[in-house]
Amino acid sequence: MKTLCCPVNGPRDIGEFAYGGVVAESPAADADTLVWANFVFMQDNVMGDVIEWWLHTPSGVWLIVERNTRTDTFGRVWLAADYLHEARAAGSTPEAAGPRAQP
Amino acid sequence: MRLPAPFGQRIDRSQTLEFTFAGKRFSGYVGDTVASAILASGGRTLSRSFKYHRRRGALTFAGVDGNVLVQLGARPNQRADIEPLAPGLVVEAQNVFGRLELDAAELLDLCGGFLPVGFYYRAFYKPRGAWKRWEPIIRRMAGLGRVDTSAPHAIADIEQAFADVAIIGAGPAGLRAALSLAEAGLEVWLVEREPEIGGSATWRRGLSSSEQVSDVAGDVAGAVVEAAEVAGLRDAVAAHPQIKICTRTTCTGWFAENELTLMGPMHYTRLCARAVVLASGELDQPAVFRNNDLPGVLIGSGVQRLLRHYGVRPGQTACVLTADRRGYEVALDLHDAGALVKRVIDTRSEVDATDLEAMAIRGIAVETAHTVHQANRNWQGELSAVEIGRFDAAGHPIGASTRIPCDLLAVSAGAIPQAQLVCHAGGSLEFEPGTERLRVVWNGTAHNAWLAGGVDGARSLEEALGSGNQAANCVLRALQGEPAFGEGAITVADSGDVADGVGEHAGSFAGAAAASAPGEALGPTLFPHPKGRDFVDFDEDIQVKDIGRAIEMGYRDPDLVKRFSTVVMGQSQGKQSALNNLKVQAQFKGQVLADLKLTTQRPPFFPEPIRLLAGRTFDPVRRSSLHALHVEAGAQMMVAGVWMRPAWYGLPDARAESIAREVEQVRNAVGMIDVSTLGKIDVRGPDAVTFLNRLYTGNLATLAEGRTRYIVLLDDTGAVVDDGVAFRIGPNHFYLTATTSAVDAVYRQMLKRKIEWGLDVTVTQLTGTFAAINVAGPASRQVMQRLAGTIDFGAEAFPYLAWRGGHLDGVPVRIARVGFVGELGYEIHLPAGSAPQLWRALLEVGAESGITPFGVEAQRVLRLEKGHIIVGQDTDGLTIPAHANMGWAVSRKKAESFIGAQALLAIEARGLDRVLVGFRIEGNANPPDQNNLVIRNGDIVGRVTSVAKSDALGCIIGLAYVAPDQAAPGTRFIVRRSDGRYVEAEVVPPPFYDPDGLRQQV
Repeated sequence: MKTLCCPVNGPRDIGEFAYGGVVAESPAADADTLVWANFVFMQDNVMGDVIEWWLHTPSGVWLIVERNTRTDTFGRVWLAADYLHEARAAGSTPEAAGPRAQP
Repeated sequence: MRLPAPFGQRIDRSQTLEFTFAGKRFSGYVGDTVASAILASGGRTLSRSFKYHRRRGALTFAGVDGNVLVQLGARPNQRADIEPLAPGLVVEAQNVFGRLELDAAELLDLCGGFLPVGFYYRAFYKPRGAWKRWEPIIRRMAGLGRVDTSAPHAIADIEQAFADVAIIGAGPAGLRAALSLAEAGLEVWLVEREPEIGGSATWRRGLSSSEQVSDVAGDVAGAVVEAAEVAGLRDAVAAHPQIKICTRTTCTGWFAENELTLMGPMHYTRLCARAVVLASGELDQPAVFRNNDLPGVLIGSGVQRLLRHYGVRPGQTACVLTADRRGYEVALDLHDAGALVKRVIDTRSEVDATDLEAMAIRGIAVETAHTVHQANRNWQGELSAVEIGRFDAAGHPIGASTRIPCDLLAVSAGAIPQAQLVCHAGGSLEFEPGTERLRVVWNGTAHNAWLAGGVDGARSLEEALGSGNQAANCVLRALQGEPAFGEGAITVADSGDVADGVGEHAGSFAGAAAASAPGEALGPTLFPHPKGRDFVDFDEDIQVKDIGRAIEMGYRDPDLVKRFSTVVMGQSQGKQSALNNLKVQAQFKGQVLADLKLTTQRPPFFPEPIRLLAGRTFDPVRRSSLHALHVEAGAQMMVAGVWMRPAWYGLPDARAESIAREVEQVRNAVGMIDVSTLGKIDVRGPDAVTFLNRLYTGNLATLAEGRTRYIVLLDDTGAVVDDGVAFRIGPNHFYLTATTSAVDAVYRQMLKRKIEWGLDVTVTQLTGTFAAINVAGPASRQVMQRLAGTIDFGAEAFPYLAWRGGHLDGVPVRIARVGFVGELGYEIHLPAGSAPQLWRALLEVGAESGITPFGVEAQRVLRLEKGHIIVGQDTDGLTIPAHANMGWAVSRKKAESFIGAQALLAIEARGLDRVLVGFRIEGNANPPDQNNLVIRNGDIVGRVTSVAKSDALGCIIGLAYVAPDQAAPGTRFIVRRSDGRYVEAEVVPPPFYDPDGLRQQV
């Protein structure tokens, strides 16, 4: 059974979680159409460490999770609000903050 | 024939069972398998081969080969060597034309030269379409079992279980590890395919406690000590309360985080273990020579299993072909069982002196550096003699051969680790340099999983017990300090600090010792014959030359040779053919074995019946708090998403008239519908307006308190994903509805966006908390006014699109003047628990106005007459608001940019490619169906999304996507109906009914 350790609920069956996409900052509202098209339709499909949104559905807790797509293993886990707060406090974009930020 | 006890530990000779096989009567004992009972009665042929319809008999007696597939009643493809005998069992042979003994298709064997590998692919594809004619014939010729489609539905449950340690295989190593770990206080599951624990100790010479046999050198005392040690271990494990023993259970797969799938006869378990010990033992391999597939040629360990488990000696005069020391053990067993062992044929030139001495004492002749070049068959097609002789480096015969009559040939051609499971988990097999033995490459610490016993290369009882102990030590150290299951993340122990002295092959505790042991090198096992019928893969009838031909044709990678030739693709999935296949390929390609990789192993290890995988079906449904009242009122309930909703009120066969009556009542008097399934979300907080304006297309800043507004939600691509109504409760407080099916996704998205945008809002889902009732129809105001309450329902006090809060009949309510159905109407939101009370009160006070409850079907007609769209039915993944005439719901002026705004601009800049229009078709006959296509000049330009017969309008109405230049009112377009005929429709701007909305706005 694949488990993901939620900071609030402890290790839970992966079936209780929903995937919410890769962490990425939206382009500015007035950004070029091409920039927006790339953001909406083009995914990098990284082989290696990625930072993603995951939701613990029964409790409604959104998490930011480090996952390795090559080994299919989870790394660090943050409460989404904590993660983004720290990223913003560090003056960084969320996706750039990910692998360096400490929980 | 049956041997006396102590042979036959599994059978109860006091209880006889009768059964039939291939139409003949047989008998066996309780404890027999189907095949052991047949062999005990002298039968040797169990099945016919897949391609050439050759006779096939028992091979391994371990439930891993495809020779023994039979039909047991309704169950096809069952392995006769492990299926327990049951009284009255009807056993049928498979893949037989006519009778098992006289198979008409046996002629195929004579024309085998015309059926080379890849023959079907290459011969039947021309002319075009030919395969369609040939396929059914070929499929029938190569048929396996028969699926009984009328077999009764069986219910099997899937269990989810947790354990500290799972041990796969209850042989000596598994038993040792289980006992050590249980004594350390861990909860252990011990999984064993066989009916009893003990593994190879239940059939290997000298390890079974029920007999006293001399060991290879004739040393009785040593054997007794070993047997007693295993017996003590078995008893201790069986008695230990911390060990759960699962016999007759096969581990079929090893998945992420040590989740193991365990399959029993009628149940399936998904076991999550903190640690795993894989002690699955070895698989003995066949040798390759001409006619190596004849009934009467058995793997040596298969003979030993037959002797000790079932007391069956599968022949009277025997020869033994061996490539290592194991053959001598088999020869001794056969001798003790009273068989005449005519010859031990050893393919090695250097042989252990103690083995030769043991044979000499018993007068058994040994030929070294010899092999069996060919097995001969009698008129029945079964083994009658072997021809033996010397061989050259390629395994071809040299010099004269000797013919030795015999009815049994036991083959010991080495073994491979039974490592399929570890391969599922990411391990692999490689050839040990210098020998031709396979060993497992596996990092145990990374998975909290270790190997023990034969799969780890153990060659003796001592090594097996030692590796079992070491694996247990590794598990203990890895689990030390780790919280019990569920109390913390599973952590990976630091590699290196576990099992001192265990290097990169972290699983290997015994292999290193075995590799250096003298006399353990395996002799040759590959003896291709110029005349063929030297089978590498019994399941698929693949001969040496077939693999050579695949390589000649350019397939060089082992995985490609596999797919072209079908070698290792049969029922046993390479369990007897993977090693010999590689040896043959190495020979044809001139490569060394170490350069070749085994083909990929995937779950399941053993076939899993679909009835076990399916488990039991659960369809959870939600019921509104009014459910009981609907049922009481005779509603026909239907499943709508996860909810049960009334379809109509009336008898099951009165669908059309019930719907028509309900529609008419709403249009002319008053009706009410349970809309509790609507999604309901409460949003409040200082940033509520900003939050909703960034989510929804409209501008909610301009929505006055006490008013409601239609809202639309898009995704990033600009597509409509949800709609609903927003109630403004206060300056920073909104109450929203969402569609039944989308509300959970909308709610999740709101939680995510709130964090992403860092806004101060609180989002609460109230879908189940509140019920909702829609009262609609010209008389609805009078009905509402008859209820005692605090709300003024006067047309001016409570105008269209307003909402009012207060009490009604003593129940706190929020009521909105909105309506899906296009009549004067009130949508009442109230605590779910109070809904039945209000529903009854409405029925009571509405009686004099003729109030009637109406269902989902009537609502569908009513909303379509008003031209109201249903998101997901009238929209699809590419519908933007402008496509569906909802551009008015998009605010271009508000300060906030909403989700999908950029996409809308980009799509609209290109011009619309389709628009949703209303249409009417005169007459009431043969309406088109939903999703019928709109055709123009032979091209598809759109589709019908909704369609209904409208009694109010006396025609067929609907919504359809058409080309933009067809959207003008009065334009006629063509729809292709489901029956292939074309029907003309006329564009009518919706709403079809009450176009000016006078009825709902009064």
